[in-house]
Amino acid sequence: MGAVVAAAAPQGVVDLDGRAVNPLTVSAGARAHVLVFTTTDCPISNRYAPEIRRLAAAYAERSVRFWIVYPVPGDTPEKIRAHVTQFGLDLPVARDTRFELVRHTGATVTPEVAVIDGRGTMVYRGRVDDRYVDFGVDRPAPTTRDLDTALANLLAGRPIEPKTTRAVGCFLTDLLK
Amino acid sequence: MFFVVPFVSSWFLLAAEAAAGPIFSRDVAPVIYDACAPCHRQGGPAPFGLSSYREVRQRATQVLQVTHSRFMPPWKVEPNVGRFEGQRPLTDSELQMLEDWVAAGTPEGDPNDTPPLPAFSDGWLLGTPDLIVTLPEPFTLQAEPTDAFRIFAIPLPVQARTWVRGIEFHPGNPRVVHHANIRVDRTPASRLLDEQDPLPGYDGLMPRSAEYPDGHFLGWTPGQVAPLVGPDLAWTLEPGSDLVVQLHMQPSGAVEQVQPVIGLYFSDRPPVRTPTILRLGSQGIDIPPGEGRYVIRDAYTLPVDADILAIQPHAHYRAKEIVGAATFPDGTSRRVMHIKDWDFRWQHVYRLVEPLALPRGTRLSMEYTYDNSPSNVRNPEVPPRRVLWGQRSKDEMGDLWFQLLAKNDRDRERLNGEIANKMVAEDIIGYETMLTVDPDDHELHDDVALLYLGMGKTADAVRHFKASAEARPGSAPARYNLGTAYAVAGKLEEAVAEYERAIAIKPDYAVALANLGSVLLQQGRSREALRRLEQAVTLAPDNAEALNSLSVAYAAEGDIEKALATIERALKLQPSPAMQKLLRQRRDLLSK
Repeated sequence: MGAVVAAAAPQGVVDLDGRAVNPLTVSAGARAHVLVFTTTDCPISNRYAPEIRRLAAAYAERSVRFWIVYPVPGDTPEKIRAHVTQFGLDLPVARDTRFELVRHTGATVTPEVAVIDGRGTMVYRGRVDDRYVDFGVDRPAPTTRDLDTALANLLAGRPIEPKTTRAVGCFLTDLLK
Repeated sequence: MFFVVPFVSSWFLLAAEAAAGPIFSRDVAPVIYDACAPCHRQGGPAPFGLSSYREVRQRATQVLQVTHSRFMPPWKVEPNVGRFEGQRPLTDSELQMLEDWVAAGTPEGDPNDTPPLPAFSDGWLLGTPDLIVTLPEPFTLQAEPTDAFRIFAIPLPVQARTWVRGIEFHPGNPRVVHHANIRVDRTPASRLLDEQDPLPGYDGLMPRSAEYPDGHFLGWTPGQVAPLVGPDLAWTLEPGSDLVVQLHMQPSGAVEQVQPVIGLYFSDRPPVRTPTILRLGSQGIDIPPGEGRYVIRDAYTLPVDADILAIQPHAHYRAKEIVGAATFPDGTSRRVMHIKDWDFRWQHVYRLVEPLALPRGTRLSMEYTYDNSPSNVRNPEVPPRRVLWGQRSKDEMGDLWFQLLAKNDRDRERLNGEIANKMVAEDIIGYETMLTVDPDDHELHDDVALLYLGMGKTADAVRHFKASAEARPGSAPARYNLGTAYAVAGKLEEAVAEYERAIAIKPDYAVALANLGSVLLQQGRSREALRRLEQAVTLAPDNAEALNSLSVAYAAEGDIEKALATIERALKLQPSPAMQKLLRQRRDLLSK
């Protein structure tokens, strides 16, 4: 699958205070954005919180900005604030209740990540790593760290391969019906 | 006319589809509410709810996937093995119905037709417990990385002997508590291990004294509540016992507090029957790295008639297939347990709905298959390494536990005796296996040496106590143990030498002095014995055995008066009936 070029700015993506935000356009001074799709109640997604925190901290120094994206309409700003506190996800938040970011990136589950480069092109979408093989089947530790590798390659100007992977987690597709 | 026929037929088709296609209210809800909602509900042990149309629709694809893969409902046993308590597998037609429903876009139907959610109790499912215990303070589980294990010794404050019909376990924090392995320790061993760790609980292994009480499994997995047993089958709880709870926890991604609560249900009278636990298995497991198919087998033939009440398989991450079978005296056989895709995370106790009667001569057998190749994603080692038997989760195990009920006490005694010998023999193999990994672990050497001593295998006991003493030079107890093993083996010279070494390290080692004295007596060295035994009883005036030996030494040295006085001193201590009898016999003999 080839790279996807950003469409027009999303209309309904907001932060926790209801202000419009656009994670698809890489902000001034940043080299890439990572969109982390999550919900407040997906166990697999929640178990990735420490890893997301680590990666966000490691790449912050290299001008990569992480966004936590909550597409489920039932995840209210109040619920999200509690979730962010509980799981230590002190990162920019985007509420995507019209599923614009979901549709744009093609994310199907949580947790799933999308990497947007400085030109607004999506250069990777899929799993964080290969820890989860299926529901109830997971490795004690990952053997490949797909997001980490994709970001390292992007910053080094190397090609990103594969550009998409299959993420395992809670389905977003049921929300789109 | 030409238009009418196709119109009618396509209308007819649409109507038929609407009637046949599954809808939530009529078709899906009864299945989900019965099979899923008992755990997937507000306050239930599952991580999210499936107790309304909205909740089920939001997870429809996931529900479809996990039911098709048979990951959910969590039931690992193949359907043709037998009927067990709490079994709720989805039928093939129910799976097809769910698939059709999702394919049709998860239609709800008329919400008024949706059956009410069954009434779930958030309190005690077995009624109000007679005793409720909990951890004195919660345990803090870190946010990651992977499966964590922690053992807690929880005191059971009963003042007198009590009989227990069952327990109900509440995980306290269902997000992270995945299952609990529960035993009872009638000794302080577990408590001491817990106290040594400043935080609640401790990491490591349960001591041997933490047991299934009187042949009862006590474990907990989500969705399982073992029914109370009848008063005739209750287990005995002695004052001073601890409940030993090993929690298997899966980190949630956040720091979590864990404080399970356990209710106990008492019986007002002593039991009349007591089950027996049989453990089949191999503790000689040694799987090469990369081995994709490693098989262990074990079997035991019943010497008496017995019923199977429950079965619990146990293995770790590399086990794949688990088979248990019963071969009857007439040569026919049937499977009593079969799990094709073993998952360490779902360690159910499988309780038979109807006990399975096994006539005397029935052979119970097990065969487990392991995959230590990289294609086993659960393999904790990448790349795989050699794995041996051991109780830590990085090691491997293979047990098939049976709860058996014999017809009467005489049969039970026979069964217990045979099984105890079989299990000790296998435990010894386990220790030898662990020692190939940790050859200098003196505790392992000491434990297995005691087992060998109990079986009368003194040469093996000497070998291990010697290794233990070499592993910790300067330890007086290690020398004492070795001396005792030599004494039991009849190697008196060696025993004296080791006791002397123990006393050289620890001059006030009373019990070593006493034993040395009695070995010297056996050698006919009564004068030296006398000196050592006098030292021993000065240090420990309440040791009746040492006083008895001392009286023998006085008599051997011709001092009958002191010998008799020493016997009286020993009798005043009210030692065991056997010792009292011996002392009286010797007094009568010496008095003549």
